[in-house]
Amino acid sequence: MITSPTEIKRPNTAQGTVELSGVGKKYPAQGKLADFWALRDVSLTVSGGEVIGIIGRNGAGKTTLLNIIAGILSATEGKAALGGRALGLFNLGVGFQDELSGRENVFLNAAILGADKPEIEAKFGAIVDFSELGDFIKMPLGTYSQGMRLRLAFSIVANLEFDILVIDEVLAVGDALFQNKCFERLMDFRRAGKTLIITTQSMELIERLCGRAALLDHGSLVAEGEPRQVVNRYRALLNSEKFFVGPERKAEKLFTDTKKWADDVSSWGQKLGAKEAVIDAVKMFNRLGLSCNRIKSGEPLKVRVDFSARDIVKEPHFGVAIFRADGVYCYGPNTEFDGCRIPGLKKGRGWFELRFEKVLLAPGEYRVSVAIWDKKETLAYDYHNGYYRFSVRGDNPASELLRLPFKACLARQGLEQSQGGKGKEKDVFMTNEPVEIEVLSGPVSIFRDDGILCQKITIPSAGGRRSRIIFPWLALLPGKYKIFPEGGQPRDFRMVFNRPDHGTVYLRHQWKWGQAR
Amino acid sequence: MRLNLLINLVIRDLKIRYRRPALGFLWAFLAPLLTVLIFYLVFARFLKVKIAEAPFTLYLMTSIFSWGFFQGSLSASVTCLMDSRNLIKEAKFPHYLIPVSITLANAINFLPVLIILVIISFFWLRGLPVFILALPLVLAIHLAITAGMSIILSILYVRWRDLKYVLDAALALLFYLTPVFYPLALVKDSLPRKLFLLYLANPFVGILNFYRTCLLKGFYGFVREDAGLPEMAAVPLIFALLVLSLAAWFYAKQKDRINDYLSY
Repeated sequence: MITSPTEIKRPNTAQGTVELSGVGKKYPAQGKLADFWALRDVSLTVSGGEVIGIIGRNGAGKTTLLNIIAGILSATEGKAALGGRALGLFNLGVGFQDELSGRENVFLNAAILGADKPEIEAKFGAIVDFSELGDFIKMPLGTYSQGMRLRLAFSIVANLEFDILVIDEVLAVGDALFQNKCFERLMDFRRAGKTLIITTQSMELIERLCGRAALLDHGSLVAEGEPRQVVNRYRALLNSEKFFVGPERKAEKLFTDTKKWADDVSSWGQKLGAKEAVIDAVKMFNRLGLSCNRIKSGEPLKVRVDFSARDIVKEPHFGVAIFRADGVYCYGPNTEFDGCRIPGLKKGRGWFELRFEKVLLAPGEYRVSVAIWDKKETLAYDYHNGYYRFSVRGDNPASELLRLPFKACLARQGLEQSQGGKGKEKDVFMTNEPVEIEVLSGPVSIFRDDGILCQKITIPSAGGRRSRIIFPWLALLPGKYKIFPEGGQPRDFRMVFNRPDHGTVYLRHQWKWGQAR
Repeated sequence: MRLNLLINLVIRDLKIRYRRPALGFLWAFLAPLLTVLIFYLVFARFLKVKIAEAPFTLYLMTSIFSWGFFQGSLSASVTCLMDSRNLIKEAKFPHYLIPVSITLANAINFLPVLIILVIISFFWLRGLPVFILALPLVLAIHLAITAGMSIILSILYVRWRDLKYVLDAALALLFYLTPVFYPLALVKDSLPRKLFLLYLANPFVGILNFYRTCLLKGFYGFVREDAGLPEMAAVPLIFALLVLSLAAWFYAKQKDRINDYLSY
């Protein structure tokens, strides 16, 4: 569908107009690939002084469109007419030369952008000031960080004369302070009546900066108009299609490692996500079914999440993750890993529950993340990162992570470490397999490969005889571990599992979910 | 109009070349001087090669350096649009400025050599021919041919990536078809008259003869009867005009399509 462009008239806007009529761009056939139309029949009128955001998924044709406006690519069909000098900011100062200094690059870059020598000399001071590079301007560009390059690139463009500025998804790289500065400069341009055409994945930026937005999909203009409406249209588009199709998981494969740490402890307490479905409330219940976030080790725990879907959501999955207060990933089940397929959410309220049979965690403080993801865990609809807390009561002088159930008794034979029943010595175990360990004396500590103490097991002295520690099910998740008998030699062992999981310990659990009619 | 950009591109090229070496631009003088020294030791002292036209070391120097300028420019230019694609994808500017800037940078690099040649020739042959006044003309023609060919090759390479290797082979062939290290008289004696005239139609034969006429006192007498000054200048000049027109036509035809092929 092509909507006809609406004219937004502003005073003194003779300059800076962009008139695209029926623009199409074909990339010629390459080998077995057929001709590819990156853009088809795009018509758009931008008046002078307008700020317009072009949004769309990766590969929708945004960059091609901007390239055509900036004159770098020529349209295969249709016409692009510009009322003034257009500058483009693509890919972080792509024309920079690492061998040259920042200063030399300013001159080269500005010359490429069409500035003459007097203009560059007049603006050089302002460019360096704006970039905040200081004496670094004399250093070869090869020594710059990506952020510094971006700052220099933006500073050059932002200080040259132009009527139309085209910016392609580049402003997300600088630090927050510089981003702010860029944003302010863009607002200055808007006030000065310059035409700005930007693409970004930051919908916030679109809504804050742009007077109008256009949505591209598969090379066509599918919507255009008031930013908020177009952004909503884009979100609906994201929902209606699978965002990413990865290879199918192989069921036979053994998993040898899991995620063992939280991504970023400092972002705990944040709520993220695209908000097609939002988490309204999260509650935890103890063994008696009472709302409570203090339990005892080995007791059940139920996490109940109420959410509302603002739109139809296809194939979502639910996830709950438990972290120790220092970021150690305890366990993070989700419905995808567990094979609970959720076909889709209707618009309206709903809930899901995760019930752990036995929380095998040692006493301490824990954080819980709750999320509703799209199918492949690439896009969170709503993600409350480390937002909830619970604690396990009791003393934990050795700072253990786990309280795995075990029995200790006297040994019969001389094997140090063995599988129960068959009694065969080995050092690779399946998660939840029964495992026996023979030791001369206690205590015995189990560490994760990265040095996190999982559990310290004290056994009664047996007067010189060897003791056996029996785990009815060893719930450690895939990865490398070390077992350390006090005064003895450490021994490595590995855990594997036939399904993916996150964290350190497998906690038996059940999912339930439902949605009101 | 984009003169400032051209200057900046030439400066970029030279700066990248001479920034890191401690001796910097001095190498533009030192490198050819070292070559001259080696030629002198090998050909004048050790092998004692003698030709009628001029001392062999001087004869070789006049051709080998101008050939070097030509070959170096083309080899660097052929891939230059691909090499500079980041630059090209940043803003709209005429693509041909890049091969032209490379040719100009190579020419600037060649100038110290010419100065050295003039000085050595003056002392060795006790004087300079009057034709020295035409040296700027031959340089201009040579530059025009090189720039035009650079433009054409760089655009062709964007579509046809085998060109780099084909060019290497073609340049090697052309090297032997041009009297870089042998005297013209040798060709005249061994080829039938018709083939020799064809040989003279090679514009680079004219260019090299022209350089030598300008630089080597007494050289003109050896080529006068086969290629007088008018022919010597006319063949390369016509060729230069042809190459430049072809480059202009080819660029106008291809300019909208070049960027489509630069991504891969």
